[in-house]
This record gives sequence, structure tokens and C-alpha cells, in this order.
Amino acid sequence: MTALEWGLPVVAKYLFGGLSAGAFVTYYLWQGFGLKSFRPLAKLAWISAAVWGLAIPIPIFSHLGQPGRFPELLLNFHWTSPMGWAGPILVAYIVVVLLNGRFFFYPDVVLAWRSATGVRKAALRALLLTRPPAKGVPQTSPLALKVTGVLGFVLVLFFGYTGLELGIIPSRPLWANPMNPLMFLLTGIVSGMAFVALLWLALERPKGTEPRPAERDFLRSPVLPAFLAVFLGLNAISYLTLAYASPDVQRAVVVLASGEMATLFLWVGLGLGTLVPLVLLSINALSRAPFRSRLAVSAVLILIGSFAVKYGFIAAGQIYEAPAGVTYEIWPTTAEIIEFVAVLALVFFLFQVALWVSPWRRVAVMGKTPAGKEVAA
Amino acid sequence: MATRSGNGRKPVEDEGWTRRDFLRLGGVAAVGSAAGASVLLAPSTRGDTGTLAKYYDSFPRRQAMEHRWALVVDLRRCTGCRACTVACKSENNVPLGVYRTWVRYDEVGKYPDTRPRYMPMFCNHCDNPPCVPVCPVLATYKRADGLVLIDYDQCIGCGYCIQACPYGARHLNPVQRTADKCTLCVQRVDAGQKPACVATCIGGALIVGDLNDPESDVSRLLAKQPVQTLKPEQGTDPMVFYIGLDSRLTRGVPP
Repeated sequence: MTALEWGLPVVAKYLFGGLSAGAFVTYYLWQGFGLKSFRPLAKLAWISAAVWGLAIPIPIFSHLGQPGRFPELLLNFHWTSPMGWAGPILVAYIVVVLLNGRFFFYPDVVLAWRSATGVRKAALRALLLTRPPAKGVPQTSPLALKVTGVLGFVLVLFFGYTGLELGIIPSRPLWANPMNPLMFLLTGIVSGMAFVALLWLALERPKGTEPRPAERDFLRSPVLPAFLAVFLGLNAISYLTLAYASPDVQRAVVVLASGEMATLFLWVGLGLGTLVPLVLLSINALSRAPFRSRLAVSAVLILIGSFAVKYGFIAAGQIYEAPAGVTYEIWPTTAEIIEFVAVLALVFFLFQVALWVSPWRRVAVMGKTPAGKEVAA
Repeated sequence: MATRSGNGRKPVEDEGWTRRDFLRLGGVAAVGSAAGASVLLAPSTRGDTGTLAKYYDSFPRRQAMEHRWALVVDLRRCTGCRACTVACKSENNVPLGVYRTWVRYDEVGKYPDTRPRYMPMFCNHCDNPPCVPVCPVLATYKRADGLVLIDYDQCIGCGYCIQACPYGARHLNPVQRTADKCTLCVQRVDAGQKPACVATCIGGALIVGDLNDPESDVSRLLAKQPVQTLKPEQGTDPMVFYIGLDSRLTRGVPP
């Protein structure tokens, strides 16, 4: 049995990128598009975008045969290779997201810095970049916030390059699909949104049975189910079309539809991970009394489904046409699993640090309110 | 209380989503996805391009090159001894578990009327190599004489070229952790020698030569014999030509 050339680290790369992009979209729905129902999640969404964004290079390093040559991606840029775009896009995205956070969190960080002590004070000072005002109401730059936000959102759209990486390979008929960039973007957005929702539910630990108005707005928001519906629709169109393509393509699609990867891709990924959450979230959206539990279950299923779809798609693209005498081991090796768990542990640690340093619970009320007023969220 | 907050927007009045909003958004999403999909799928990018293999006579840039190396595999003479595989391993210090050159074995026909088929496999040194444009760091390149090579000091081992090669000719070298493949023994060819596999072939089934030299063995063979290439539907224009290849093994089959 031969391990897949592109196995769990590549899936993790796409997963982390999607989580970061989706979290940024979640944040930008409030910050950029002013969608009120996403306001309670905005800060956690930005933190998620930043942490997952910083984590994207880790599985890339573990996947590369020569990780020490990573700078070559920038030094020898090859524009015809979508993988070559990864270097500039990821670097630009991470820089823009961090800058955007600096402007978004500025008033909160200044206020938190004033009252913080020790290491946290030093960390907050470093995050501010510039000398903070000693007193008075800290003001952020709306223009800088807007510009970095738009840039970040545009760069998120460029994350479609992940789908192009697979989509431009004609020798892999399953992957050579022009809809891949859109599909990858959609799975990323829904998984990132689901992750932020889960984090928000876990950290806010709402008491009582009756959701607060702001909370109820998000629970009833149709945005996530709408994205899920579009993703399901595109999948249906895509695979129905492929099923009537040339015999090579048909054989590849069979691997996903009824072959070795059908359970993972079709049933876990699209059924359990997309259709069931779509139904649950639609019930919430149409209900006057939405349940947090429905959102929580949906978010968990979406995350599982997103992983399953990505793994199934990437593995199926490789196994349907294995070289003669080669049998691929379709599941990850023990080493890959251990590595993946270790990376997740590192991401967990990064989240702990980010949540400890950042004033995500604070709300600095600005504008015509008394100077320096600070309230708990 | 309506407050101005971090995004600098005007206050938004509280109002929940109604069923009508939900259905309207759902409808727009469904129509949008259908329209987008139809636009994207309309110009199909796959399938048979109608391009059959270009042979010697139609090779576009042969006049511009000093040499154009090509390999002819005369399957009528191949005994399936795998001496080429061993010679390649020895010449190029290929690690255990991976191969630059190997001999594929197939049985064609229906039992009990089956026949064995041996097919030596190499990098096809394509005229239109799909591995070159996908390399993110320009480590894979095509030389002026048509040989497709790898700069081992630059390759990052991402495996993109391995996925892009329709012939399964590339692998990740487990020792040097970079992509690797048949180079047509470039070190020997540059020194005026034949590749190790060609030199060792006991049946004389492997013939290497310069397509730009009309007197070379390869040119003469191609002028006289009908030849085939693998997966012509991929449009890669391989420079490895097979004589006596079973037509059932040319299209869409695993490498």
C-alpha cells in the first residue's frame, strides 16, 4: 500500500485556509457590510481569521519535501502555477488581516493597555504599533479600517486559488473542474462561519433559555443556510454534469458517488455535513424561537462535513487512476494523524494566547459617550 | 440604544429576518448559483481536444533546435526482462521503492484468450509538458533540446508536478525529498553516450536519437514505422514513441 502523494497535510492546508477566510467573511459581514446579526461575532471572527491565517503555513511546511526552501515561492514566483500564487496571497492576506485588526481593535486595545499589567501590557503595547494616547477617547482611523477591510475581503476572494490548484490539472479529470475555485471558497466560508459560531457559543456560555435579541438575530440569520444551499446546488450541478462527461471523467466521479470515497464525501460530507445543517439552520431561520443547540449541532456537523468533502475530493482525485501495481492507502497514515493532532494542539494554544491578550470581551463605546467609558460585552 | 461602533456605520434599527426575506435570499442564491454554474460549465475544458499525437513531420520547432532527443520503444522486441529498470536504478542511484523507468505488464483480451503486454515506461519529455507550468518555483523546466529536467537544488518537493503528470512518470525521491523522474540519462546524453536503459536493452527495443538529424535511427524508424504515443487526448505531445503498441493501452489507462 502506498500513501497518497497529497494526503492529510494538503487537506489541512485547504481546511485552515478556508477556516481563516470564512472567519474573515463572518467578521466582514458586520464590519464591512454592516449586517447587524453578525455584530456579536465580529471580534471572535477576526481573532479566528488571524489565528487560522497564521496557522496556514504549518501544514504547508509539513507537506513540502523541502520546507526550508519555502522562500523560493516568493523568490522564484511562477505566475502560471496557482500554487505559486500561494506565497504572495498568503503573505498579503496575513499582513492585511493583522493591520485591519489593529484598526478594528484600536480603542479596545488602548483601554485594555491602560489597565493591563506585566506581560499582557507589553503584548498589548506591541499590538498597538504606535504610541497610544495617555488619556482621552482613543479613536481609530475609519479610512484605514475600511481600506484594510476591503483589501482583506478581496484577498479572501483570491483564496479561490486553492480550487484552481486542483482545477488546472487535466490529467486528474475529477479535479479538472472550473467550478473548483467557487466550491473551495464556499466550503471555506461555511466552515469558517461555523467555527466562529461554535467558538461564540462556547465562550459566551449563554445562561437561561431565552436568547437575547442580538443573539436571536444571529440564530435566525439566513446567511449560513443560504451559503450551504448554494454549495449543495453547485455540487449537484457539478457532479451531474461530470457524470455525463467523457468515460475517464465518469470513472472518476464514480469513486465519489459510489466508490471508495462515497461514504466520506457523499454521506458524511454532503449529507451529514451540509444537508442536515441546512435543514436545522433553516428551521432556526424560520422559527420565532430559534435554538442555540441547533446552531451548535449544525456548526459541528459543518466542520466535520467540510473536512470530509475536502479529504474525499483530494483522495478520490488520486486513487481512481493509480499506477499499475500500486494500491493507494486512502486513509491517513498514523504519522500524518499525529502530526495533524499536534498542529491542532498548536492552533488551540494560539487561540488561548489570542483570547488572553486581546480585549475581545470589552466594548469601547465611542462617539458622543463619556470619555473612556468602557463596558463589558 | 443605537450606538456608533467599531465599523463606523450609522446605527441600524433592530429588525429580524422574516420568512419573506429568507425565501427571497434563497431564491436569489439558487438562481445565482444556477446561472454561475451554467456560465462556468458552458466552455468545457476537458474531454478529447481532437488533437492526436503530432509526429516527427509536424513537430513545430524542430528546425529551431540543434538537437531534439526522442525515444522509440519497439514493443515487438521487448521481452519484459526489466533490464532497463535495473540499469536505470544503477546509473542514477534511484532509491528503493521508487522508479524512474519501469515496465508495465498488462493482459489484454478475455480469458482464456489473453495475451501479455509489456510496456517500458519513461518520462515522455513532452513537447507540451504539463509539469512545467504548474511548478511554483520554476524548478522544472524544458531544455533547449527538449529534455524536461528538474533543478534539484530549487525544488521544494510540493508534488504539484507529480499530480500534473498524466503518465505517473514522477515521484518524490524519498532520499533527497524532491521530485524526481527519468532524465533520459542527461549526463550520458550530454557526454555523447546512450541512456543506460538503451545501452542495456537486450532485445534492442529502445532506440534514442536526434529528431533533427534525418539520418538518426529514431528519424528513420519514425519515417518508416507507424508509431503511437500514450494518452494523445491529453495534448502533451510526448517524445516517447511506441511501435506495436496495443491500441487498447493508449487512451485513458493507468500508467
